Amino acid sequence: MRAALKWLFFSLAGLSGLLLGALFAGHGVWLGSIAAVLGVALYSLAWSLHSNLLASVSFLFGTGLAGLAVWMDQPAWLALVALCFNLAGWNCFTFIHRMQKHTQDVLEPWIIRRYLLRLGGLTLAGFLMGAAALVIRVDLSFAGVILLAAVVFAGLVVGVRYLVVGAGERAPQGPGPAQAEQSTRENETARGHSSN
Amino acid sequence: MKERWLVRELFSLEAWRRLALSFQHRLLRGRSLLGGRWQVLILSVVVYAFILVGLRYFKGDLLVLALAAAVFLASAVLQYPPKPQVSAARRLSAQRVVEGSDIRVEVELYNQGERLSLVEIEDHLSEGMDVVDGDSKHLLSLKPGQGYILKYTLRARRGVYRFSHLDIRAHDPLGLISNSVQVEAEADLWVLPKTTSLAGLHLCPRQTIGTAGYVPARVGGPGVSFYGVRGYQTGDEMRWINWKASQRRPGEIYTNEFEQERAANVGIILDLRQATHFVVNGHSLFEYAVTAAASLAETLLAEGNRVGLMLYGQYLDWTYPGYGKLQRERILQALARAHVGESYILNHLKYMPTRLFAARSQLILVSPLVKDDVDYLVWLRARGYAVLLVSPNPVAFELAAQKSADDDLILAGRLAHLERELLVQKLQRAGVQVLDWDVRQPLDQIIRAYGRVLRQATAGVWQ
Repeated sequence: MRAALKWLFFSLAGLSGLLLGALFAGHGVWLGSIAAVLGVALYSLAWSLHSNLLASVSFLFGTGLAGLAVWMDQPAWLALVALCFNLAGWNCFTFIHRMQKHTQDVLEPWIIRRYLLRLGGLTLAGFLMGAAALVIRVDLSFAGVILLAAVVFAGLVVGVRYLVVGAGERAPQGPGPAQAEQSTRENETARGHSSN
Repeated sequence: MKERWLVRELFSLEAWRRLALSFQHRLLRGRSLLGGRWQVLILSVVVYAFILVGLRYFKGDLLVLALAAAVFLASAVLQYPPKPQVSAARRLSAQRVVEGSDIRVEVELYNQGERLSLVEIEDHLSEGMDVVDGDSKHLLSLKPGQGYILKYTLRARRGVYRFSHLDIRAHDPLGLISNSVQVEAEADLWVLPKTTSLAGLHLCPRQTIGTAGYVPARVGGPGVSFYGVRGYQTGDEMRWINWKASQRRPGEIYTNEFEQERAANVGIILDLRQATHFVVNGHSLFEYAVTAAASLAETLLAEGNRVGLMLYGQYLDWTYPGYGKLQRERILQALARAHVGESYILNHLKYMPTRLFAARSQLILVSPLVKDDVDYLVWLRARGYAVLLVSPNPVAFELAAQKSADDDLILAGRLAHLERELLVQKLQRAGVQVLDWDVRQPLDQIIRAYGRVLRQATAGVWQ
């Protein structure tokens, strides 16, 4: 199962690089093609060094190339596919890396199967939404655009804040658990005094 | 309702303050700033970058790319992992083991909260512990009410260890974000030093105690070694009569007398001073000293002696003298805790509280020996203590660790050897028994080899 994941990761990273390379090569930007190959090489290096950091750099590099391709008016749907592969490849790498930290073999195959299904589903959803956005044209008034942008921006800010701080989690008010325990004890003592 | 929450969260200063405090708290605890949320941050950066650049330069296609990445972000928001509510109970195969033994650890976990579709469980191991079988980190899935036993085998260096908690990190199904808690599962582990039997250890204190043992007491009575001749007393056995002496003086009968063997008061002193601490290629000479002290204590207690232990160096730890297995355990536990360190007060042996040792008893100092100690050891000898110095040889230890020896190194080694030999000779002349121990050889072999020399030295002291 792990071997299959490994091949999936390399396939995704390779396909992403191939698409980006083809995008640039199709328009004679050979430097872009070389950069795409370099991105795949970075992924391979990250694999051999077991480095999450390097894999993230590779992901950002590939994403930047996809953005650059779109900026240079290359076909957006190809860049979208490349980005989807890149996203899936990066996620696959971090999942494998997490698994590799654990030498035990209790991770049931169904967990991996479920992960693969979700990854596939999400990647497909991302592509379909992007494709739909490419195909469907909506005319909005200026106020509508502003409103939409505000909602999107606010949603993103709150969503990211929610993800970084956590759902319902409070930042600790005291310096540590020992002090927290002490303050609980003090509160209980104070409550005891007040009840008396 | 949700919109109101969104607006409140966005414009609430308190919410942003909580975010800043969370970062500060993570930094103070030496943890990663984002914990298990770095993937989300990277995705957010990508999404923001595409949106901002797309809006700024009117590139709608960049917004399309942002959309694909935003789907992953939305997935993390929708499938945010619950805070793990897991109880844990730890079992160890033994709470006290000898160094080098395997310890089986089992942590029983029970999920009391929601379903954890991907959860990472990591047991915190102290420095000095090595997992030899299994893994202290597991990745699994836990249903509500489901239990799991984390099993592994470890080996630890000498010391006292405390298992405190496990880190439990619940991930979303794609592993983009995690929610972690620490679950307490406490246990103590004592890893005692290894010991070897030291047959042939010959002690000669001036004073012994009343109980029977193996130390010659310089008092006539039942024993094995010939001690002298005295006049016959009623009750003496016929086979003890010295016929040759009796013939010389007709009318009188003489009986052979034997030397009594009794137990002795022994104080073992382990040197913990930083100045005597030598570490070469990760191997510490101090560990050999600890093993020697433990072996000496075990052997002497097994022979019925009254043994106390003093740890002298960074701190002063005194195990009051006693007998038997309980005392052995106390001493081994004190040795398990022993560590070297710097102290401005106890940096010289002259500050040692010698009044804790019984007068004219046997003292055994386990120390690599530094120049300043010689006078103090001579002074101890003059005070009537029988002093045995068990000295792991630091010069031989360091030279043995050198892979290639050039002429300068050989010369330096010879000079260091000579200097040490002079110190040893000075001590021996003062009646201090010195066991110069090259740690490449087992201590019991060295003691057997030195046994004859020690007995001769003892004889010299008695005269």
